[in-house]
Amino acid sequence: MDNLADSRRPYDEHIQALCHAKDEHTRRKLQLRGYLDIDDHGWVPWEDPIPFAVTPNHHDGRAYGIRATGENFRAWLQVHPLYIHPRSALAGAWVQFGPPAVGGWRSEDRPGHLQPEFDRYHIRNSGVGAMNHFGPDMRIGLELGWGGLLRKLRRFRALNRPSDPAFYDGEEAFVEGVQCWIQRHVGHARELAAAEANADIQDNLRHIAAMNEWLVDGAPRTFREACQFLAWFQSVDRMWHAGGALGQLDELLRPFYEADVAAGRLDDDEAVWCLASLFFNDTHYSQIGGPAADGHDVTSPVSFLILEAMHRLRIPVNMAVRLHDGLDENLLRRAVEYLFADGTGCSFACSKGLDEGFARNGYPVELARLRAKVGCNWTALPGIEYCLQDVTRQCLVTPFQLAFQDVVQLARDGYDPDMDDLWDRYCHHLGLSVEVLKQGKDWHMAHHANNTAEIVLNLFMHGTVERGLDVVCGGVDIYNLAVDGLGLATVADSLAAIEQRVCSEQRLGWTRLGDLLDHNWEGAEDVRLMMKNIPRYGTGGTRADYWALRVSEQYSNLVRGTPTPHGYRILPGLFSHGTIVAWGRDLGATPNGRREGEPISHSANPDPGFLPGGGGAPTAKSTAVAAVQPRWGNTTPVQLDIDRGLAGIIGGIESVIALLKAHNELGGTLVNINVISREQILEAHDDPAAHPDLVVRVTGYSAYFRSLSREYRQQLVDRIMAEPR
Amino acid sequence: MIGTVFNLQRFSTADGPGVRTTVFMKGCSNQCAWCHNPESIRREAEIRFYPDRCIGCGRCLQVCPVGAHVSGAEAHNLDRATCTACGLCASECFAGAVEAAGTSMSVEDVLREIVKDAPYYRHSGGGVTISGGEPVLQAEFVGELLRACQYHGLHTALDTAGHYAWSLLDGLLDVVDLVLYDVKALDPDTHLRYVGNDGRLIRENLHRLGGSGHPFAVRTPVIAGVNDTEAEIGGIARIIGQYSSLTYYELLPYHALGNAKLQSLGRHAAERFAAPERHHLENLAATAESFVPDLRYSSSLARQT
Ligand code: SF4
Ligand code: SF4
Repeated sequence: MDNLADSRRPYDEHIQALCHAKDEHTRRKLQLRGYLDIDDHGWVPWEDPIPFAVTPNHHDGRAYGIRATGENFRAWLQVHPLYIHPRSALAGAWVQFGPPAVGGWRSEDRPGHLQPEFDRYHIRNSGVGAMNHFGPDMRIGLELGWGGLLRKLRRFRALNRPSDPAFYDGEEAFVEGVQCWIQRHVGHARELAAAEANADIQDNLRHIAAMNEWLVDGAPRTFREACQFLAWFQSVDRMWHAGGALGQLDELLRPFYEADVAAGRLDDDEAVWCLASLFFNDTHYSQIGGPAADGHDVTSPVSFLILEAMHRLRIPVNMAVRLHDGLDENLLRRAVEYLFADGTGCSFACSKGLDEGFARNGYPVELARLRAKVGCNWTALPGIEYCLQDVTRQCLVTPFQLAFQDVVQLARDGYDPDMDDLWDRYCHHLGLSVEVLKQGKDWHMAHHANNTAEIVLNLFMHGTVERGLDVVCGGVDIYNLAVDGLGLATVADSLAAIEQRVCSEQRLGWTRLGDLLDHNWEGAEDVRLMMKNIPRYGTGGTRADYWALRVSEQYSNLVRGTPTPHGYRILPGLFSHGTIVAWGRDLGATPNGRREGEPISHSANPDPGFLPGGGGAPTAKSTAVAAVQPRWGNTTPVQLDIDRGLAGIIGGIESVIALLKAHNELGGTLVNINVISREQILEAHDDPAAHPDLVVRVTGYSAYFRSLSREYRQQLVDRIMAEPR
Repeated sequence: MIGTVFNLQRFSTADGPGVRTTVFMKGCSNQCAWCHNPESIRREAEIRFYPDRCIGCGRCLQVCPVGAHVSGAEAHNLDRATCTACGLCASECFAGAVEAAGTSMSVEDVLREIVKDAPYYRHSGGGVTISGGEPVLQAEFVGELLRACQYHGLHTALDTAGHYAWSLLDGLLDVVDLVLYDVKALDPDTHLRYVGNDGRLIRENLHRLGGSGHPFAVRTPVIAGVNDTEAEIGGIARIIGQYSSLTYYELLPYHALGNAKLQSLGRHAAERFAAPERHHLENLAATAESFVPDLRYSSSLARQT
């Protein structure tokens, strides 16, 4: 036993040191940038100037297109800073997005002709010019190594003999740049080792030097080398416009783990340290567990080691557990326990809804099962699909506001409008809005590669190198573009409020409501509250639930019913990322009682406080969001806020597991659980009104935090603060 | 069939096994001084009033048939002596300053809410729990509701405090899968002082329930200075441990949620209570553990020292 503890100790110390380094990096990054919305990226703060000057190929001083990108990338990596944390198992880190002044879109290629319609329908993210957002097959890289990738490029260049070899020129230059960067780290590791007094750390640095000397050209042979290969990939992928997809991480690493363990050269503690070092390097989106093509669960010891590494490192890691009927119960349980213990952890991608939805497009379910969750909301077939999810937002609210204005005008003109009129106008505006998004998609597909090439991910796709084509230009066989709607509850509750208060109860007329919205409810707080206090979306069985489903179906049919003019299929989802505050800021008041400028609703989630009286929100939310899924394989996540104290209550963990399983069974696609942390509870204590949906539990009772007395809130705060970190 | 319900709690995790929906019936035959659901005590409808939420819109003044809302220059008051609790103002107050505590609901109404969470019960071994108040006081309604739940294949639990004629509970046992029986204290003086009766009927019914062989669990709210003694907790454990149909014994550390609710009903707590300290709760649990098949408690809910 003592021996075991001894063997684990140095790795624990290493991981602790990485944890402290991450804290320190975050502090310095905050000082440098002032704020950080995206600290899950692994860049390390770097203050010295980097001696790089772009070689432009355009009069605006930037470089565009794949050849210029590759050549500039090579030059950038030749001078990019070197970073090795002496207690990490792996070398390398990126310090800023780059290469600077490379990529983006030439002004003459931008879709100016679409802009008026984008503006009219409040399309802030059209997806034109968006990068990444599909999934690489990292087995390609793990099998070939950087040298193998270079030889593959040269082999297919010779086979294809393209008249314009820009693709191969650019990709080869890029790989040479990566090799140069790795080689420079070899020297750096040796220098650090020579200056190191601690024998263990010196050993580690020498190991890093030797390992990377091999990896400049060779394919990874061991678990640690595989992690190092992925770290280099992550670093260059992230610096190139924030790429972030890794794949089914446990399966990628399993063959290396099994071979090492069989050969007696790896134990689990060392494996956990390697994984923690990989997460310290960057937090690319990955998945563990879930079905193989034949449906059997792929959970392996590596899946558990990944959870263990996240748990010991305790930094945000973008990991998803793929929930399906056959999922290893212990993996699910461990993931939920660690989520509560750490206050941060996995999300849960639901196979039933995702796989069945994707299969409805005509794909075999065996293929659908392989579509991994590799982004904040999205899934992709690793290596064979271009999907561009999570970058195109369809605001559902603006078309509604325009429709409402049309109907108010009808009323002002003396016509007596009803809900059918409002719905017709809504369908009209939503249709136009979807149409212009489709035109934007075509524009993107036609112009993207000439501007910003997918130079990193092209290497890890099946078909790109073989054909000499960028992934956007026919490099792969499967194209499923995506659009994500947002603000469903704002629209559904508005429709239900008008139906009840204007049409049924006739408490106010269309024109009066129109005037009140124009004046942001001024002097009519009671009317605002009356419109807000209707049975709302999420309750289940209400008119607002009916409207939510109807809006979702209409939106889904418009998006999926017809392809873009150039023939690309688009899969609808409902997801707003974290941008609802910015979206709402520009929008006028809405009939659901929302004031001008307030956030619109999140994805397809019911609005905060949707159940009067408190309690019950998790199951109600889960059921509501499962019911409005567009069901085409794109995700519509549910966001659950759950009190961390639930973990301390008998049956608490089991109830969360049941919640997840039921959401999967109901056809949901993704569950994000927000475990309420100390910081949040303190914030909520200071301003309970700003956290209207926070449900806290004590014994059998739960209540909305805001509805509790100050004294009682203090009691909860004390309890949570007293729990061990 | 109509019952008076004051709350429906979905995703309830501590009123029986798994994820449950707990239906709180209004009206109680005990008067626990620490009650965390004070609106459950009276059977009749009540009005909750939160003056700090009032926006002065005057809608309540317009609808109240007896003029019970008094709006002065400074404050808005509810004259509870005049108010007949008809609930009209509550349905017009969109600011949530006036709320009705207690709603008349049909069995179908309640069932419709309960079945919404059926998938969550299935994945957790959960179901429905009827609590209160004292649900057995509305035995006819509860019986019909639970029968309907069983018809839908749902696990049923009844949370009861036992202060009524045995025949009422006996008549419900065939539609209840698990009885959650509350025992607050053994000592008659303590019981009289804090619960309003000496507890004899509750103890007798406990023995009848144990003797019936029907699956049951016992729960005790543990309150510092009231019943947090070895004699009380150990004594209860010893008594219930003799019955083979006991599934578990659960200690529930007191919490203060009830005080704010009491104020909104125009009442005030006569006494302040506190949860036992953590190590003390653990000692009590250790004492009880030797007598019962399964002892449950969440020490995280105890007072941290
Ligand atoms: S209806 Fe409500 S908000 Fe309006 S005056 Fe009465 S109590 Fe106040
Ligand atoms: S409940 Fe009825 S009687 Fe009482 S204040 Fe409201 S409207 Fe008046």
